[in-house]
Amino acid sequence: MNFITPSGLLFALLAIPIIAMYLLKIRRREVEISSTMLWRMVLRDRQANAPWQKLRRNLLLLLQLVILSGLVLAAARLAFPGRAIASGSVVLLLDGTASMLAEDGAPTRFDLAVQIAQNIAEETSSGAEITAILVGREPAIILGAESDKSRIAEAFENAGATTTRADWGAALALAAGIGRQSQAGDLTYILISDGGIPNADLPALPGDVRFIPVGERGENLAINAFEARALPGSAISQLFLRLVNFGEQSRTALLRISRDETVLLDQQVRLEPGESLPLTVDAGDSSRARFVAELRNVEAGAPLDIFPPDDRAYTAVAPTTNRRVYLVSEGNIFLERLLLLLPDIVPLRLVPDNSGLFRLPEDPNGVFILDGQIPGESMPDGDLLLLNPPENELFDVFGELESVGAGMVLDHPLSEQLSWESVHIRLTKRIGLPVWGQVLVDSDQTPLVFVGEQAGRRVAVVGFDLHESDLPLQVGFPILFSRLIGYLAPPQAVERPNGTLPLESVAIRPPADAHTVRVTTPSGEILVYEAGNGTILFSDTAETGIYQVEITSPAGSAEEAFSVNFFDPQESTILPVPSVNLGQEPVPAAVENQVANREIWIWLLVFALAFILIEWLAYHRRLGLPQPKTR
Amino acid sequence: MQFDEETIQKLNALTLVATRVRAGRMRGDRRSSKRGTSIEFADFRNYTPGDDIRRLDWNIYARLDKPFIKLFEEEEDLAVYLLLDASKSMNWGGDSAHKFSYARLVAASLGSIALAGGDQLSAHQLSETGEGQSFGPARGVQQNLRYFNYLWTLEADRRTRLAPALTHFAQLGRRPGLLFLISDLLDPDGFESSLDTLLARGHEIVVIHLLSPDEIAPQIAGDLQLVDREYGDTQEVSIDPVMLETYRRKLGAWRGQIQAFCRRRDIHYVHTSTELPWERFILQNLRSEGIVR
Repeated sequence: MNFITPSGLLFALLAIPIIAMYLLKIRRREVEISSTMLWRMVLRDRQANAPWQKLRRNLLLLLQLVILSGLVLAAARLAFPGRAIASGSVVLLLDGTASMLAEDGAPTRFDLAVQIAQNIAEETSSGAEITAILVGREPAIILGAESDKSRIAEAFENAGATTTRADWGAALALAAGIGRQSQAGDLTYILISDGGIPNADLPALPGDVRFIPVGERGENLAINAFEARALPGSAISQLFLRLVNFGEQSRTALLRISRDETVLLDQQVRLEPGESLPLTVDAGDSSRARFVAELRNVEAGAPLDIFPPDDRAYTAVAPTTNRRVYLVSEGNIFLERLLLLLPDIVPLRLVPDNSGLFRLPEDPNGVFILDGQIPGESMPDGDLLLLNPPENELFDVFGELESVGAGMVLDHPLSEQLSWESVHIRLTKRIGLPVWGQVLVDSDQTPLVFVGEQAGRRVAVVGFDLHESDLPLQVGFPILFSRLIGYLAPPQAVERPNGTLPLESVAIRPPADAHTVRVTTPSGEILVYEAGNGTILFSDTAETGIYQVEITSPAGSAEEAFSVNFFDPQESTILPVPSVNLGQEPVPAAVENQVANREIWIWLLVFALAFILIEWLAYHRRLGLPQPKTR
Repeated sequence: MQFDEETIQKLNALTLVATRVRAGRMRGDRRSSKRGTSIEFADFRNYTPGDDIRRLDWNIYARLDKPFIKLFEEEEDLAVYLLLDASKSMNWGGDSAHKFSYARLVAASLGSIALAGGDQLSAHQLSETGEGQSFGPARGVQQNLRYFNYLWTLEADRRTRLAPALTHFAQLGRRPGLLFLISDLLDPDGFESSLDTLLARGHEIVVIHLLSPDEIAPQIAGDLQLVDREYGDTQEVSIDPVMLETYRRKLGAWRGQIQAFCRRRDIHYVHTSTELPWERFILQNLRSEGIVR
């Protein structure tokens, strides 16, 4: 309860003259009677308590004070924090990110947010339109300009949070667009979230914005990384693990690491607030194994914290396949030496036959590096790395360019951390970028390095002869070419067996002769895909855990695995924030699940009017008796 | 003022009852408790208007030129005193229920009964200093008209404190008799001690307590300044139904106190409202109280 205009309470001082008038002097009519003796006897007891006795049972005074109280509270604009009854158009932004799964709500923060949203919808004036956006990895409109409260309730009941982070930019842009198109009058945005909203580069919202925070606690101990890798040249694996305390208190927990139901490690760990603790654990001979790491409360049976998704992590080791890499070149010592150093491949250098021509083997699972030439009439089956390419069937080549400008490294996983500043190229092919091409290094006249997938095979193109540049002398050379070879000849069909976040896609690239790919989810669901169309993008990764991949080909079936883990520091930071910034404007938190003061002055006026009526009735009832003679 | 014939007949059929008969000096209608020697002469006393002139001793009158009445021992009369409160508070009650008018009618009735019964009647307008008008002593029905004229010359226009007025009357040394006090008893100083004085003089007392209907159940409300008609005092009061109920309870308690006081002293106490027809008061209420028969 609070007062919007506290100065209005000064009107309460009017009670003093009202009471004083009752105490001091009431204007009385003079009435003559035969004797006042009996009345004096009646009043004798009352006058013993004067003047306060005069106020006793004085209904009119009581009513007048009640009326004054109502009017004073109305003047002071008495208000209660409450969910405002919105009208017009209301856009609800419901945070559906992973942190909303923290169990300090009802029972989770997301459940609490849904309750708040339903309450807001219930108290919204009739005719108001409610649009609800579930903010997740991709914003989703779960309710579109709806005023039917039963449908609104149904939509909220069907909403659920996911174990992902949110694309707030897209969600706010969507909300802003909906608001601009709204014709329903007043526009109100209500954001129900525990925070985790980036502070910059968010669009402003065209309307009244209110922020309702949910959640109370921030203690969270998490496994932030977990990966198994085989030691070079051996079947021994090593596990890498990172624990992080995202809370503000020191925590002790039990860490248990298991391999295929066998406990490898069970020890107590202690982390200070904000501490990140990396661990490595030898996993022994484990060319094919599943590993599970788990943090538990030292008190058996008690939950570790309020946010379970990051308390458990998975990783898997599967046997790798060494693919053959054929080098077709007049002679390229740089590439030859590099290929010999790369793991998980079998480098082969082809030599021309007696006629001086290269004869390429039939190996659809091989990788062909064609350095300045394309033997035969067509491209070989298999994946290709083309250097200084001649005219060919995959893309257009428009002659040569001398002294191209400085190359620009574009954003791509294969070009991360790649330095191109000191690379000089004297002569390069001028290439028309095909539709399937993704440029890694560009220049102002022609793409210098690009990759892509064409007709089920992968192609990487370097537009210049290595001998016409100083790239082989740069540190970027082994980085670029090891990544390109890894791209063309991955050691497993599953390209990123670890490090996949929930709902991220996993690329599965079965061998060219495979015909089916079966994926078994952690919960046992089996999904079957037909191979032969290149890379399969598997997106049903909502669950965390280990996914089994079985690839069937005429030669038999091969099993691989990949893990999906909740490794997201942003979402593991679950401490609720008091305010958010939207479009450079800070939006403070409303109190609890309420968003505004609800004034009740209108009810106070009704209350006062009702009491004025009662006073009128009481006054006339009191004077309703026959009037005496006045003197 | 004159009663109609029917009323007079009814009144004449009544007799005042004194439970403690007082020895009279004159032949009356009451037999004495003392059995004397038939019509033996006992004494003389001064003539008073209304005395049967057949008992006048003409010889003494001729000799002394003063009228004396002969008294005989075997018969007695009753001295009846009617004390009328003529204070301003009695001048109240409207035309139909005026207290003093009602009091005069009651006094007239009682006086008429006394005169018809051969009793010695005296009537007095109560006053603290004796300046009130008096009637009698007189006896005989032929005094009725004079008595009525006397009553109707009275006005309730003065301040009267009951206790001094009654004490003053007691000090006059009248012979004991049946004494009627007709009053509203609205005297803030009280009157009880003066009744004791009257009792000490041997009177048998009947208190007739008159109140008007609006004194019994006031019909006023609101924030008022009440003005006392008799004393001019004012009293501020906010009257609501609760207050009226309190008043009614207080009035009942007050009358109960007076009644209890009177009962302890063998004083007759009769209260009435002036809305009750005076004939019914005389013929029913007083008869039921054993004051008349």
